Amino acid sequence: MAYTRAVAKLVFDNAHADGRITEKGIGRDWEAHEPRDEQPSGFTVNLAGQWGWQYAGIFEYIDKLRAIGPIGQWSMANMSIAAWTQTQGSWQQYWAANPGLTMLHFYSGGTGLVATDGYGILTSTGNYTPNLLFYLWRFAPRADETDPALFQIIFQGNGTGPQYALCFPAHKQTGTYYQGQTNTSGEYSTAPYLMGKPVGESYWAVIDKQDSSAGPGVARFAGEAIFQALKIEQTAETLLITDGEGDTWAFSGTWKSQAGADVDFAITEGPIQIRVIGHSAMFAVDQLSYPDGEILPPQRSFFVPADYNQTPNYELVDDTDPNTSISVVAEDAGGGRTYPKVTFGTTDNKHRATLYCVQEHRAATIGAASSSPVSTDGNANLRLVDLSWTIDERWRGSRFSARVGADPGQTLTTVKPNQKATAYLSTDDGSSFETLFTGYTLAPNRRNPSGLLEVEAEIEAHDIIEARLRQKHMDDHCSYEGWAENEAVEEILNRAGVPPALMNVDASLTDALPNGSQKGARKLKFRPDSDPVQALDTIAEIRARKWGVGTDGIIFWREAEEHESGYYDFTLDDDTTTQELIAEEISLERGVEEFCNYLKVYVGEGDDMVGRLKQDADSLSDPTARDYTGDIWQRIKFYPDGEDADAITEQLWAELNCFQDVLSWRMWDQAWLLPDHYVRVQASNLDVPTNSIYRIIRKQGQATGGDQGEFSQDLTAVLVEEGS
Amino acid sequence: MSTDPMGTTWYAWLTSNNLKVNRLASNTPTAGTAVTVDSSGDYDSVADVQYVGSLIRVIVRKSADEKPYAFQSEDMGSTWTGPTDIS
Repeated sequence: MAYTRAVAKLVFDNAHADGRITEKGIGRDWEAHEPRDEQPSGFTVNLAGQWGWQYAGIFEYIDKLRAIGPIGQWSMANMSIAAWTQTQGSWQQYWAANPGLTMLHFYSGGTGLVATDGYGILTSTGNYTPNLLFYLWRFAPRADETDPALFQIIFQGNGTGPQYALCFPAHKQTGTYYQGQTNTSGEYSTAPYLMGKPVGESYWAVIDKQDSSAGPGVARFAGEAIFQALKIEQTAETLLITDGEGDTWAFSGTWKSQAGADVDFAITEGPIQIRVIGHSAMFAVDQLSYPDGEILPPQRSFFVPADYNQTPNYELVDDTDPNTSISVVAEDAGGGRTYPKVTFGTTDNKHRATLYCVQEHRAATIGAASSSPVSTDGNANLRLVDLSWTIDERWRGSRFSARVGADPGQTLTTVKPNQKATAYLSTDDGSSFETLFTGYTLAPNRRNPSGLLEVEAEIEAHDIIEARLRQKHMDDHCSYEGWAENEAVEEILNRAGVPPALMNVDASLTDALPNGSQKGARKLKFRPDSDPVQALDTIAEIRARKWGVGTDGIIFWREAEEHESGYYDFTLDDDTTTQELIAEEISLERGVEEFCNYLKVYVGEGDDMVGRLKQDADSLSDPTARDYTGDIWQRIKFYPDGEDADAITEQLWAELNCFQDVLSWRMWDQAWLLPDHYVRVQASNLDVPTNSIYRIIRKQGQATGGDQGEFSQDLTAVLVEEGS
Repeated sequence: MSTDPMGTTWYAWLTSNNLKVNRLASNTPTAGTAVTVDSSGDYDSVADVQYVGSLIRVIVRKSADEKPYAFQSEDMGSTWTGPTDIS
C-alpha cells in the first residue's frame, strides 16, 4: 500500500474574522400595481384602501399594464382640411355644435361606394405618434348601403416598418371591403379589430379583435348617429384603446403577417390615413401631449430604524424610449422616513414613459473584522487528533469533523459555535499546505475519554452556505428583475452578511436578469421565508450558472463550465509505480437513477413560455448503444423564472442523458484533487475504455494530526468522455 | 324645424319664391348663412325639416299639384338635390 506522511492542522478564528454586519441592509418594492384592482368586481374601490401613489390628476394607473404613466392631454382644436390630402371621396370641413369645433366630414355615404372606389380616404400631411384622441360622429348608413359601416385609422408609420390599421366596424356582417383588404372570402368582423401589414406585403393580417364594448355599438348604430371619443395610446409596446365606456382594449406582442412573417408589434411615428366605408362620418383628431418633468410621489414614506442603512438606492422597472425618461431620487420625509420621488420626462411631449416598480435597496455594511487565529499546530491546548471532511460537486454542504484534545495537564482551548475553522494538509513535511476546507463550527461536543486524563472535543464545521446563509431569510428584499446579474448576487450575499473578501462573483456577468412578460407583475421577488441559498439557486438555474463555496471559504459565482474534449487534470493509472500517484480499491458502478432519454424543458411563463425537447433515439432503439434502455424515460422540467431555454436545456441534457458510470478509488496523496477536476483513466482491469475522462463529483478525506500523520482520500467521479 | 345629432337646429322657410334653409347652433342664438335650396316659386308651404341618417331633408308642398316634394342634402346643407315627389 502506498503511504504518504501527512501534516494536518486546524486553525480556528473569530466568528467575525472577516467582518460582521455592523449596519443592516434592507429593501422593498414600491410597486405601481394597485392591489385593489385585484378585488372582485362589484366592490367599491374604498374597500381596498387608498391609491398607493399621488396621481394628482397628472398621472394615471394603467390597469392593463399594472403601470403608472402621465395622462395624455388634448385640446382638440378646429380641424383644417388643408392639413390633409383628400385621396378619395367627398370631404369638407363642418362645424359641429357638439363638441363645438370644426370636424372633417366625409359625406358621400351613398350606396356602392366600395365597388366604385368612392369611399372616403384622407391622409394627414403631418406625422403623428400613435397617441391620439379622436372625436367621431358616425351617421347611420343608408338602408341600401352594400358594405358594412367601417371607420378605419391606418398608421402608415415611418415607411420602413409595418403599417397598422385600427378598424371600427358596425351594422352588417357581410361586405367586400374587409375581404379585399385581408384577402379572405366570407369573413368579417363586427367587433373592432387591429390589422398589420409589413412593408412589401399586399394584404393585411387581422392580428387582434376586441370582444367587448369599445366599438361603436352595433345595435345602437343601426338606427341613429353616434358620437365616439376614442383614446389610442401606445405605451410600453402595448396599444391601448378606450372609448371611455367599456374595458380598455390592449394589444402587444408578436403577430404573424399574411405572408407568414413573425413581427413584433410597434407603431412608428408617421402620417395617419382615415378611411370611411359604408356610411358617412366626421372626425377630429388631436395628438396627445404628455407633461415633461412631472413628479410622482407615493402616498406613504418608508421608516427605517437607526441600525439600518439610512441611504436608499433605487432601481427602476420601467419602459422608456429615446424620447422619454424616468429618474428617481430619495426624498427625506423626516423622522427617519424617506420615499422615492419619481420624475417622468419627455423630450417631445408625444411619448410617455411608464413605471412598474421602484426597487429600493440598502446594502448592509460589513465591518469590524478582527482575526485571532488559533492553530492546532504545536498547540498543547488544542491538538488535532484526527480529521475527516467531505466536499462534492455542488460545492456546498461541505463539512469536516475533527477530534481535538489537550496534552495531559493542559486545558483544552474552548471552540465556540460559528467560529471560522480552516483545515490544512501538507504532504511535504509542512513545506506547503493545501486548504482542505473552510467553514464555521457547530457547538463542540467535549468529553473526557474513559481512563485518560486528557480532555477531547469533537468539532464539526459546515461551509458558509450551510452554516450561515441558511440562517438568513429573503425578508425585506426588493425584487431582482432587471438587475445586473453580478450585482444582484452580490447584493443578496451582502445582505446575508458575506464580506466582500469572501465573494468571487464573475464581474463579466452583467447581463440584466429577466423581467416578466408583464412587467407589472414582479419577477425574482423571493418569498420572505425563503433563504438566500434558494434565491441564488433560482438565479443560477435561470442563467445556467455554477455557484458554491471553495475550500478557501470564498463563495464563487461563475458560468457553468463545460468539459472540453480531451482535457484532464490528472491521470489515474492502475499500473503506476510512482508512490504519490498510486490508487487502490478502484471500482466502477453504473447508475441510471437520474438518466433520461427524453427531456422537455419549459422556460418562462405566460406568453413568454418556450419549450425545448431533447431525445436520445439510440437509447430507445439501438441495442448496441451504451445507454440503451429500450424504453422512453422522460423528464419534464419547468423554469418559470428562466430566460435562456437553450442554455438550460443543454446543461440539463448533459447531466441527465448519460448513464452514471461512477468510478471510485482511494489515494494517499494528491490532496489537491477536488470536485470538478477531470481525471483521465488508464485501468486495464476495469470495463473502462482507455483514456476515458471522468469528472470528480465527491471527495472524502481523512487525516490524523501530528507530524507523523496519515492522509487518505476517497474520490468518486463520473464519466464525461469515453475513451477509445 | 329639426335638430341634427350634433345639436344643430335646422329650419326652412319660403320667401319671395325662394326656399331657404339655415341652421342655429343649439347652445347659441347665432344663425349661420342661409342657403337657397330652390328659387322656382313652385311651393307654397314647408311641411317639415328632417334629419334622416346623414341627410338633411326638407319637405315642401307644391302649389300646382298640392303634393309633397323633398329636397335633401348629404353635406350638411351646402348643396341640395331634388325635388323628389314623395307622395
